[in-house]
Amino acid sequence: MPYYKFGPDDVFNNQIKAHPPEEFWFYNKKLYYNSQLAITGAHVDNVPNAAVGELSLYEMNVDRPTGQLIYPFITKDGSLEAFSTVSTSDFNTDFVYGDIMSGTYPLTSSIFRELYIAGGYATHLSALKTTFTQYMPLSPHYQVSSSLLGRDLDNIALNIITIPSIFYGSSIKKGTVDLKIYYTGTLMAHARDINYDGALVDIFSEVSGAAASPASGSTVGVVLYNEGFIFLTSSVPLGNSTTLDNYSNSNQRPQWLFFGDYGEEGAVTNYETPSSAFSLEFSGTTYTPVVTMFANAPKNAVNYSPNLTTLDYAHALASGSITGSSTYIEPSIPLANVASSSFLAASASFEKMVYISSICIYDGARNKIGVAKLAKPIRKTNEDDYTFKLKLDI
Amino acid sequence: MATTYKNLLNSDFTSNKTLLHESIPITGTIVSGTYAENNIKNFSHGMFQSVYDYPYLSSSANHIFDITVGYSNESNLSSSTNVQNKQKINIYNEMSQLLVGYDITGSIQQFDEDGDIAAGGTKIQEAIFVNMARLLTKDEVKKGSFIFKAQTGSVNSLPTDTLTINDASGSNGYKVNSPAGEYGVLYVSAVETVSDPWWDVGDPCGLIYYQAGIAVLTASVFQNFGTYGVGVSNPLVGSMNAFLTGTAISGNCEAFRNRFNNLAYNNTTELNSTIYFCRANHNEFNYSTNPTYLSGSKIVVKNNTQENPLSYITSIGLYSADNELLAVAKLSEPIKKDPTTELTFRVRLDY
Repeated sequence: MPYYKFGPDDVFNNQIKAHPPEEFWFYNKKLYYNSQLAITGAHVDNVPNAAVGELSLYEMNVDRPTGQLIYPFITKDGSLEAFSTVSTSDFNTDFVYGDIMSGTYPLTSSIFRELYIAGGYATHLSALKTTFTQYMPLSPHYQVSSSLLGRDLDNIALNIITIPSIFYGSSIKKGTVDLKIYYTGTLMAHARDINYDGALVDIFSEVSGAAASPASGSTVGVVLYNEGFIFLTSSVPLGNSTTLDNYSNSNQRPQWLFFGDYGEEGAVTNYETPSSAFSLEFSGTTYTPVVTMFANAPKNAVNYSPNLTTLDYAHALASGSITGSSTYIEPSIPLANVASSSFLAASASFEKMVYISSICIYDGARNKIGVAKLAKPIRKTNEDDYTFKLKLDI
Repeated sequence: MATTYKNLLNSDFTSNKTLLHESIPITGTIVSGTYAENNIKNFSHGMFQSVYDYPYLSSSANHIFDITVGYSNESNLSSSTNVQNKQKINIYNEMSQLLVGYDITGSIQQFDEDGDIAAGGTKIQEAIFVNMARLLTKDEVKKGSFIFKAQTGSVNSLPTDTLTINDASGSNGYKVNSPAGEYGVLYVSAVETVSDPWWDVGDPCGLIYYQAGIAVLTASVFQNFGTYGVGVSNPLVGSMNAFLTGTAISGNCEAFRNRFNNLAYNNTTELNSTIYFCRANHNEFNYSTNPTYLSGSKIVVKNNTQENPLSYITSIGLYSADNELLAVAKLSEPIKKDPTTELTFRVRLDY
């Protein structure tokens, strides 16, 4: 088998940038991710063994009952390694060398909502103030305390939606964040970062053509694209006096502060908001490194296969091998002629050709490290000059 | 970008290896019963059967192991009139080439019951192979953790008669004379059957290859237990020998799955780490090149110009020999550094 070395212009390292769309629905105490419903298994309510709306990290305990779950463990030894859920003091005091520290699967991830009441200490806002400052060139709405906007995030109620990076990759794509509030199935409010600057603008009237809603045209919150946070700040009541639901376990009109309220709010849990549904859509940004290789099969080369089926054994049997008391000479076996004739009763003249069915990639020590298969074999003659493009996602 | 660099000496870094394990229980109901064979994949080549933990047409399904059977061409059962005789020999040869290797004549060696190939002894000539998925075994099966319980009663009986097999010697008595890595001998550890005298506790009955994740069970595990078969719904029954000779590989796999009571093992993942001890001596790293560090030629974090220089270390960059930034370690909070203090930062790089 011939080996060809890739030249400097034959191998490229690049990356594919993709924007996978994501969608969450909040309704009736349930969260739905990409419209995925629960799949009832033989042992659990949802086959991946995680709640609907959650991603299972390793997807290992598929439809397994309690007591039959795969779980990780680590033995306390000189390396002093432990799970991050084991504190340093617990590691030192609760375990002796040789003890086993166990974890649990599945590890799940999902979006998370927090509502901070006005005047309360918003710990996650406090932690993100420096990040807000970094976004200020994008929009003045990132200013934590703004006299221009007449508001101070430290002193107003905040609705914070946290999106783990497993859902969006490197960052949320600008201009794709789309939030909707529905009341009894009717669109009540619609916000989007229409200016690609992170400011979420209520576009309900603009899109639906309906009469202006109370918050229409105003900025109702901001998005931290790289960090995966949405801060909603608008407390303007939407709808009218008849559109009431049990937001924060109290009968109220909808507002952006209640976006994502589906029955879990801090210490207040297990209430229902039966008339409301919320949708959150955005596109992530993922980068997939790709190695692109150009494998050249030049003219007058790569026209022979070491495969034994390319030999004409019928001819070999006729000629036979040469043997003697100290000699063995293999029979000379010609290549089979696979050239196709244009005439029914006549064979074509011999022509060197090969059918290329796969291309193997080797490392410097000629260890085979990859095989690329062609959908169908390509015929190559002496006159043909082919370049095969191989792509490898890493 | 740093403007001053400090070389790491040999005494400033060390490598470390941590073993992380997972407990993998596989009950017999997963292998046969719960999903009405929808989690079992048969192939047109008929050489092995794949078992999933959920119907395999679902994207949620994980491959858990493959089952196949084979016998040596030196086995008494080998006969050209057997069903899939050639395939069963090929399976055995493929496995033994991979796991046992060749002798000095270039011939394929047979599986040895006690792993002592040089001493000869009893060979496993008819075997059931369980190839556990890499997804579950990870880097290797943890030595001494493999337990398999086989149902050994009549095909129609409840699994009250069982044979428990483990690699009791695995943790310290494993073998290293396999081209596929380390392996241990499987022994009978419990016989919970009333009538059968065939196996005693402590009898060797198979091999477990830890890195390859392959268990080789001698087919005679199921010998002399009366009828061996796939149960009531599919009344395919007979002796173990009759199954090996008269039934296709898929039928043997099916029969084995219906005798599969429980399997449990722990896997191992090796976490390799390099730890860099980045030492900031008293007279080093007391100054920052960050533009925000100075304002009007004065250090902004100093209240009094007479005070010592002062910096807050927030991150540590690891550079190659030609000063190319390779990695950055971030501190959870900035650490104050001045000429009165010396600090050592422990930077761990896992791979």
